[in-house]
Amino acid sequence: MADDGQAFAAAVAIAVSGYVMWRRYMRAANLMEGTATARVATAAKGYVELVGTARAAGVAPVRDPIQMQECLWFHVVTEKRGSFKNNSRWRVEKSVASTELLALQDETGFCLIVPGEAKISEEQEPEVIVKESSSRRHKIWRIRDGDPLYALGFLSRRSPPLAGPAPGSIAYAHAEVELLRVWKRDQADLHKRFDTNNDGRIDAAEWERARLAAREAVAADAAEAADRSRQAAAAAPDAHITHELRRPEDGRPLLVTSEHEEKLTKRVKRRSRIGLAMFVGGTLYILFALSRCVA
Amino acid sequence: MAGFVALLLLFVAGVYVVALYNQLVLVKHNVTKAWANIDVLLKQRNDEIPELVDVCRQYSQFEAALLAQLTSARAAAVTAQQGANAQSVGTAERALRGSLAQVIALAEAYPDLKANAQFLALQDRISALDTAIAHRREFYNESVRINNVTIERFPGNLMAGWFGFRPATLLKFQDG
Repeated sequence: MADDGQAFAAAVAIAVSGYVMWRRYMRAANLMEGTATARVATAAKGYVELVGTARAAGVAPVRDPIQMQECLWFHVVTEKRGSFKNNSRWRVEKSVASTELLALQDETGFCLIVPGEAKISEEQEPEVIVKESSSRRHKIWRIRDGDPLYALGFLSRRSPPLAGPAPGSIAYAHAEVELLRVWKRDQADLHKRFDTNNDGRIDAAEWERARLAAREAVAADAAEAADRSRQAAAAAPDAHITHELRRPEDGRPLLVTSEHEEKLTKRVKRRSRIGLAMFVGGTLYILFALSRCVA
Repeated sequence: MAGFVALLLLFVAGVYVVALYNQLVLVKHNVTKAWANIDVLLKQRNDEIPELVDVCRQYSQFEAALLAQLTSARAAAVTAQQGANAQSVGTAERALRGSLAQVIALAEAYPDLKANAQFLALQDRISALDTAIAHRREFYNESVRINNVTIERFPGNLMAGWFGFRPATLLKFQDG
């Protein structure tokens, strides 16, 4: 009776996880098959598929913690063999993935990928399995500089760094008022500069000239700040990366893999079919068990 | 028991049909989006052409007939673009591209025009837009191919027939 209960619970778990797996992988396969490949530099903003080569995103390469090999991205899953009787399955003990940015390069440009938001190589077999002992092993996935890279996500142009208030903005007007306030604190200097008829007071026309001077000073400061910002951006190690690929807000995934698209699609479809088989099998068992109970 | 199994199979078929329908909507939407992305660049490029014609006209000896041909080809391209029909846009684009290439080639014979900063800037801008249009046309055609394959493949063809999904037309800038 207890065995029946366990089998029923297992069937429910298999059916539920199978359903989730089936729907999830079917959706991923549909997205991969239904989205055309765009080119980084000329693609419009939106959900796109990119195919290119993995490149460093202006940061030093990382090293995986097990084999210490240089790469752009790694994911290490440490597994331990179960020590219960009749249970020799591997269980995940720890999972570590690098979070450094990486870039995708195609023939038109570079695109930044934020690994923290991506599902990287999840569908792919590990590059290597390192056995630490008979009961402990590490599965390692790596993406190296020059590896082929396939990505599906929301592409947009990278925002330029902030360069002070823009002319016409509220912040710009505020800067002008603030500068006039500073000048007013030093009345002697204010009169020296703007009291052109030397009558000891600043009349409306003279105040207008002071406002104009403040506006020009703010404009000059803003232009200088913009110039500095442009120079800093041009000198930045990732200045050549003009676009970025992120996870869209509508729930669609950001997929990144070093596997070929066709191979990946096949694998995803296979998993979808496995999920469907689990769902159907699990549900059939549940129905069978319920009908037996009723009988 | 048999009734439950039939219900299960019906549920699986239902989920599959919904997923297939959503896939047809996705690929159709992708074609529309890809067309809009080309459309915006074609408009930008077409907006530059009158300026190019004006710069060329400053050189009185520049062939007026060729500029008139370019102007009318642009007008035809703008009209075709408003119709949002890939075939007529392709035909109009072929004529426009031919005229544009002739004007640029003829400009080689006018050193003053070739050295004109405004002409050079316009030429660069049009050339950059053309490159972007070429890439987006590739993207559009790939979206069309995906759409058409999804519609023609079984069982997508049944669903497409029931729900009125139609194949899209490839955008061709060259004959053949």
